[in-house]
Amino acid sequence: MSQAAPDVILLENISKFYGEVLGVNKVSLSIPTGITSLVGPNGSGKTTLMNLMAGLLQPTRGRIVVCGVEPSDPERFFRIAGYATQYDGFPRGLTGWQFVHCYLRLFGFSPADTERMAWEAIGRVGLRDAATRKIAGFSKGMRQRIKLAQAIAHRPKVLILDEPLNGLDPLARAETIALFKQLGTEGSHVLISSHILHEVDLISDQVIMMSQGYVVAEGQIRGVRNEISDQPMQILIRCDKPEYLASKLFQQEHVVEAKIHPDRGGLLIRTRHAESFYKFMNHIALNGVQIESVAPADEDAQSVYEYLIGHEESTR
Amino acid sequence: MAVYKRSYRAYNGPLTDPLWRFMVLQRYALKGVFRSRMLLIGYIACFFFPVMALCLLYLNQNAGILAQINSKPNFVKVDGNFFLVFLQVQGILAGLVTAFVGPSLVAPDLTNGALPLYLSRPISRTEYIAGKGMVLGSLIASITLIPALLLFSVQSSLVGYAWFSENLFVANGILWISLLLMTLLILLGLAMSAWVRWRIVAGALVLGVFVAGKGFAAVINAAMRTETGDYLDLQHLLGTIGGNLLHHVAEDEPVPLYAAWIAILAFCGILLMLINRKLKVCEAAG
Repeated sequence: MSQAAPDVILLENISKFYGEVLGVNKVSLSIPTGITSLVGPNGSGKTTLMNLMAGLLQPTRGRIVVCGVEPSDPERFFRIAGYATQYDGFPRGLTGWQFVHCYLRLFGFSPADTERMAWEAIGRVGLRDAATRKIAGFSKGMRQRIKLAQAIAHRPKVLILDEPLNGLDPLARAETIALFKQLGTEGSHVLISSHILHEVDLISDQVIMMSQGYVVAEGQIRGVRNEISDQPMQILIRCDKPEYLASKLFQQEHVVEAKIHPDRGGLLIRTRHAESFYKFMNHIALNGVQIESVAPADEDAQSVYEYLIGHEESTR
Repeated sequence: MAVYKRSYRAYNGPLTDPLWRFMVLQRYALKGVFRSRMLLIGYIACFFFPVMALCLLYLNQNAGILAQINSKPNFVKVDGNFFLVFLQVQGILAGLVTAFVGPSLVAPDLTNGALPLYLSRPISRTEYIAGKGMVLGSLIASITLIPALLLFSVQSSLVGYAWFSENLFVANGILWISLLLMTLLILLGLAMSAWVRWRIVAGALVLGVFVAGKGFAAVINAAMRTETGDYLDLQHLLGTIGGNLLHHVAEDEPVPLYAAWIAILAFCGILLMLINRKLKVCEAAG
């Protein structure tokens, strides 16, 4: 059994079965601080993994240590962890402020600290004006935000948020993402699950991709993309002579495809060997082609998801 | 959105005593209970009989007023039997309050998904039961234990130390009967609320088990030509225990004292098991 670093979420060979149904299987992860996104299709095991990390489920096998605390020790664990499920769960009849206040009091904070911390959390999610209204009258987005306020109110080191961006309007979404980024840079763990892949790119310091109960990839998107060797890398080049560049690139063995961009201001190429391609580009740049930019076109969660899970999804 | 320029730091201020944190639940739940005007009126009505009893005790010792109506002091005998009747009447009212309040305690938390949030350890399920139970406990105590002890104190002050020392067992009896009644009704209210989400049905079940138990017992006794039906009559069982504690001698008691205790405790155990079973699934692993 390995020694868990105090700032890391460690999952060692975690499996969870619901009778004979697989929840997650043989998951081993070491998650550093920052924003980590769990990505995968419905039923891939994201919520199960989150519930396991939050101690709401007991693993069938394996061990979880969150910043030095095991979720099976809930009294200590929920001091350092905040959790918001994807489903609404509010005691009946409470206002937004009472909801956050009530749980802080149950955590044992003094009345003065509770008051201050409740308003602080509500302020951070931008609900000050609506806080004294009943939650029953809140919109979906407001309910998402008050759940988030409740999860962050006791200043947890680890935030586990299941689909936290669902139902938020674009402005609230941008504000919430900014809040996640802020929490991430402050040194907290922010674990979120999401279906919206372009947001995962915006938010995440690292991603965990899941499919059918297994982790199929983990790490930073670029690192994950580089590991997918059977899919040629896509690179977008903005330049002044795309046709000339395409003819030159076709002479390279590692280049398998080159497409002129519809605006004729560049081209998209696919190469099996990125390093050779970049060396060649240095050579080309010295030969009179004005190159404006060279950027990977598939180093994003969407592409990686397609490569790793999209195929499995379509063959199911 | 406000932006705070600072790094993560955990809360390191003082915390309240973990022993009493469940009281937060009670405070929040009580606020909700008294939002119902009907309950508020019913609750106030529960004090009608104690006020009447208080007036009676006062009159009973007021020679001046009694002389005007040609009556003598101590025209009502204030002894264990007096308090037993008082507690029986207030006990039925406590049952009605439980039927009204009990179903709104656990069921909404289950229906609205709030229970897993509570039980992901701001508090444990024992504390949750204690917190919700305190709502019923405080209401029941305020219409049984507290008025009964108040009447006892008033009677002691009116009659004197001799009566007090002679009837100290009555205070002891009041305390035990009230605690037993409170425990039973709290567990009954919470169990029905946990298992029956339909408020009206849960309330009817509380009434059925507690208030209409006498009817069930009579039907069983008549149909089966037995007296075992009395074991289902919670009020009868409590009456047997109360009669013993308050030195009231029943002429023909079909349920022995020890059997009444066992039946009541077994019933409480079953109710506790039912509550525990429903709440355990919502609790964070521990």
